[in-house]
Amino acid sequence: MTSLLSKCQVCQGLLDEEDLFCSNCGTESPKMARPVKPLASQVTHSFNCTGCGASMTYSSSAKNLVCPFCGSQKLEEKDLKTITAKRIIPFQISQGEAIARLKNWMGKGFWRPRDLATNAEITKLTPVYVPYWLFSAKTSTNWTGDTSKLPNFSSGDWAPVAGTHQGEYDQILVGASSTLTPYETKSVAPFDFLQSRPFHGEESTEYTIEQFCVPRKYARPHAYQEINRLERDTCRKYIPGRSRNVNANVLTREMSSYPVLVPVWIMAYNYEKKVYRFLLNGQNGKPSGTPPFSIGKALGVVTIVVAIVTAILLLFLVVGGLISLMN
Amino acid sequence: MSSPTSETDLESSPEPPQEIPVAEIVDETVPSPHGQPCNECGSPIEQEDHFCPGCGKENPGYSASAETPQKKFQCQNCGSKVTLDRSVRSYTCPFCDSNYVVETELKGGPEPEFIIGFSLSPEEAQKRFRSWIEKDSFFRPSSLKQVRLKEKLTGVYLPFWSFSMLAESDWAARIGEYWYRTETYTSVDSNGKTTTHTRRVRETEWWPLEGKHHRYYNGYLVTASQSISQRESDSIQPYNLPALKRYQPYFLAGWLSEEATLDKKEAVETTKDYFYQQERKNIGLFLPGDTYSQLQVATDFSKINSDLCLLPVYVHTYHFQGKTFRFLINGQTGQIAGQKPYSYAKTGILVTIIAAILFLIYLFFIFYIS
Repeated sequence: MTSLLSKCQVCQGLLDEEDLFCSNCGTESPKMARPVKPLASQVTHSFNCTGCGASMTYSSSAKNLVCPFCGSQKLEEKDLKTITAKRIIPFQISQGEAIARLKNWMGKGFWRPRDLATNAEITKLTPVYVPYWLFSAKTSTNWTGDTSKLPNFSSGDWAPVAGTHQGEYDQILVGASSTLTPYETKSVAPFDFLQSRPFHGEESTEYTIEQFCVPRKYARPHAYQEINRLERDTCRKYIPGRSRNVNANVLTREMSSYPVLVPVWIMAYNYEKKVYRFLLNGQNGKPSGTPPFSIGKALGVVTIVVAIVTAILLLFLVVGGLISLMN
Repeated sequence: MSSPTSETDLESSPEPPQEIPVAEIVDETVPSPHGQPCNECGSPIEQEDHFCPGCGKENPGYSASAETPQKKFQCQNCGSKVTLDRSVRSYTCPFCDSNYVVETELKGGPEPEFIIGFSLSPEEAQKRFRSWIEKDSFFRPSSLKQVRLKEKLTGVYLPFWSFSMLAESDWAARIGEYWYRTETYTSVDSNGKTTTHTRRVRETEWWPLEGKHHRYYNGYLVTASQSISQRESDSIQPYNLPALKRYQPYFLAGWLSEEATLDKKEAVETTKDYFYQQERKNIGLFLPGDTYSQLQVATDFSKINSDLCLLPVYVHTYHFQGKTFRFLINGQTGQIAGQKPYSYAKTGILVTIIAAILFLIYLFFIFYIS
């Protein structure tokens, strides 16, 4: 993997060849005398889903080709040259365990239709390696805020405070999938990269691997946003008592990133003619997804609530009438 | 495959920070893809990309173009130094409309590093000029609409300095926190009856606070040409800077370009003044509390990097009643600014009418009061 092209001389952030300026500090990136070797890439036997647009490599052992993201069977064969992941987290959750967790998840939750666990086809649960960019950076932050912890003499409720904080992040994940929504790629996390190992491509014979569809420069703004959010949450903890108006002035340096693959069990299923997607973190077994909403149950609840309210009103009327009669 | 930019934003954080988050700035600086789709993966590739940013495939359209032969002219009237095509035979200085130009063998001037190409054709620029000269014509002489340009508009690449720098500030301020006190007061109504009321009164408690602030700044353009002033160049800003490309001589083919003549040191100071104001504004947004006063900011600028950019401008003069007026058009966005004559006759008439009305009102009051 030779994606490490060059570093910004001012903030030590990783630069891509196509960057004229460092995205972090705006410094001009050094002009490359000779074109540098591009991102490592490999030619793979790939498929494009005509249903949802996902592009992926498929395991040769798969008998029938079904897009794990949307359940469509219309897949186009295509030879693709793509970014190759640097590291991969292997699957820790077996198929049996994944199915068990899926059933458990489907049974849970009041609003889910009761027949979901039995009616949805859970055989289509597929192990997929989903692409992410793994960002790391160092931060130095100035913060300000208001605290509710006040000296005795004060007359108001708030007092201003300010301080500094040094941070280091090495596991900021930004989804590089074109199919999963940012909400999905976020909710399937976290992953523990201590268990990751270098990727040499041997998994591509056994598993479905989704292609990298978001270049680094489009993933980077999301990483900055996430770092800013985390820094603000950290700085909030420095403020004693309750806090408000917390501002974090974050300066990032030494930002770098590399492509990784993480294990996700994905099942796209039809329930009453609509496609839903269930995701299961293939490392720690955390389920996520938007389950179907039971309209029957919702209607039932609304009816019950209306009935109770009407009953209470009637009761008041009757009691009121009785009291006025007695008077 | 969906386009990379169509990716929606992550969930917005619950409490939006007052200061513009870095991510938004970065989002803005990511240029929208406008190249040819890659044969392999469909990612947009621009001509300058040696390799596809998506899959790393070599771009077949990539070419480092050959040097364009050029010659340099200096205007004897205003001193501007302009580079133009070898093919150009006659030349009128666009800055001052003078014909006193001589070819020079000047080898001075720093090499430009970045460039934005012309997106506005001379014909479109001509249209902009027409609608501009005919616009808000009340105070203008009526014959201004008849103004015709002597020759076709020619675009000039003007040199600008752009600096990136790190601002590190120490600040001190008084922070005001609002609190409310209930107060009772009495009033007497028309019957002579006294009533007691309560009301909430807002008070401000002031606290001293000091701290630090830091931020990278870039993107302010300072003119490096002695032919146009900073005020003139500000009037046709902004440029869409993500469209900057690394300078290649072939960009200049068919266009004029001016040499950088102004000193970099002075440009750095102008930029620092501008960024200091930005930093002060950002610190104001960064302060906690409900209000603040007596803000003091001491800023140290470091890690200063300079870039010389060529930006597309149509500079031209027009003649009206024996006088020369100059106007500029942003060659990327089409924004136009310049000098226009006022009609003294029309303005004089209007002033007279207003004065007469005021005088009548005055007379009316005098009579009314007496």
